[in-house]
Amino acid sequence: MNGLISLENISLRPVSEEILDLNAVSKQYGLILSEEDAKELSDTRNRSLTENERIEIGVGPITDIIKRFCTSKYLNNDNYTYVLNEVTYLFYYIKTETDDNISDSSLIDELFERFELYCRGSIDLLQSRETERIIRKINSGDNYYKWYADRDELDNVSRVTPTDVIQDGYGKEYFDPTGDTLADHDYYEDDIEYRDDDTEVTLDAYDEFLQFRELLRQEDYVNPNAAKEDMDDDEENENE
Amino acid sequence: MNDNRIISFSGFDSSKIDREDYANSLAAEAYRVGFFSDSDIEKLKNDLLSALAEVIGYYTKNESTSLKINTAQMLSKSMMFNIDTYLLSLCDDKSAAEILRDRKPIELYGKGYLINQKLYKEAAVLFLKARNNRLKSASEEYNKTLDRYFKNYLTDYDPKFSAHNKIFLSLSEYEIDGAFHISGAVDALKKLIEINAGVRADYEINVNPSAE
Repeated sequence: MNGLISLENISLRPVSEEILDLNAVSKQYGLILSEEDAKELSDTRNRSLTENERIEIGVGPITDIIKRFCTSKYLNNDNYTYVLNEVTYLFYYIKTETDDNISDSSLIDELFERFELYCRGSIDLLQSRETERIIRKINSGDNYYKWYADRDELDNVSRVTPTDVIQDGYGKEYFDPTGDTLADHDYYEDDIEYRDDDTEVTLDAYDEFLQFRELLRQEDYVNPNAAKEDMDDDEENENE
Repeated sequence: MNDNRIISFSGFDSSKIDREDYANSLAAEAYRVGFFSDSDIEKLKNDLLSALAEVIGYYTKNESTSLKINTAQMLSKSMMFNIDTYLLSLCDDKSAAEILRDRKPIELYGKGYLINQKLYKEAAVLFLKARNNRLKSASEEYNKTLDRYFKNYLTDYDPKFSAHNKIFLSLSEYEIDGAFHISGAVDALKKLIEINAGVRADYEINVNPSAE
């Protein structure tokens, strides 16, 4: 006797009967599974459990998968069995890849929502793109929308990118290409004080003379210092 | 009243019963001597599977019906260890075999869990005492034992789901060497506390001499 508990054959019993019982639920949507389909689905479930190194006590989530997916508007009798087989296989794969960090019911909800909304009935998209998204979402936790979310997954939450971080820190004008001229660029640090409108630029004596001579040339300009200048001229003449 | 118990039922061969794998070896020996029938063994196997399903439900909080094989093996070992703990506490192979045959395994698991939980709490208190009164100058292995091995062991230990975990110690100078379950860890900590307290005096001075 090799021990009282043997895990090897625990979960590999066929579940075809339980699957066929669910035809009572799915037939209201026009979907029926035959005995061969039920056996195929049961074998897929056992194969997925074996390949993903899992065991299962009882029937498992396959009945919940059937109950959920039979309501899909993209399923008909031609693709019903195929989709159920693929979803069942994906289910156990994702459970292993996410280290059982998601409950059965939440994962079924996630798979169904993505199948309906993002894949629009395409099982290939569900297997390729959406499976990786689900795994990343569960493994990243709260950081998923910050790090990985694609455009079509974002509602009001925007993804933080390195460009966003720099723009928030420096201001959007820093990267504005329309106003980017040599004189305005930060690289030329010597120009900074001339670009600042609050800075007072002091003129030297020669500039002041040039300005004043220009004013004198204007005919209607009245020199406010005319009387004083005349007195200075008279003193110079007397001294000579 | 004389408290000498009969340790072994006359039909059982004690040498064939492994104390490290008590329930399994006891059931095998009981079947060999005819104490268990085929239907008893079949019923016991089914009941143990049901108990394991219940333990898996506790572990997954009933949110998942499947789990990895490694995890299931860990839970299975923990469940059997808790059952063994309770059966060994009876100190009588015949009584243990009767209880194993007649009572539900999940009930035995619960009783064994309570014993291991009590040991775990005692170990946590003793661990703090040992660290507070540690030797000022001791070997690196001694310090690692207190700072790392016991700390990691008690942090990871769970009497529900990893009751079978062992701690590996190698303090040859204090004769604490080997792999210990939680009960052995408690004994090792008690010994360390004695060592930390130092050598006791071999005589006591009577400070209150009797009047003559």
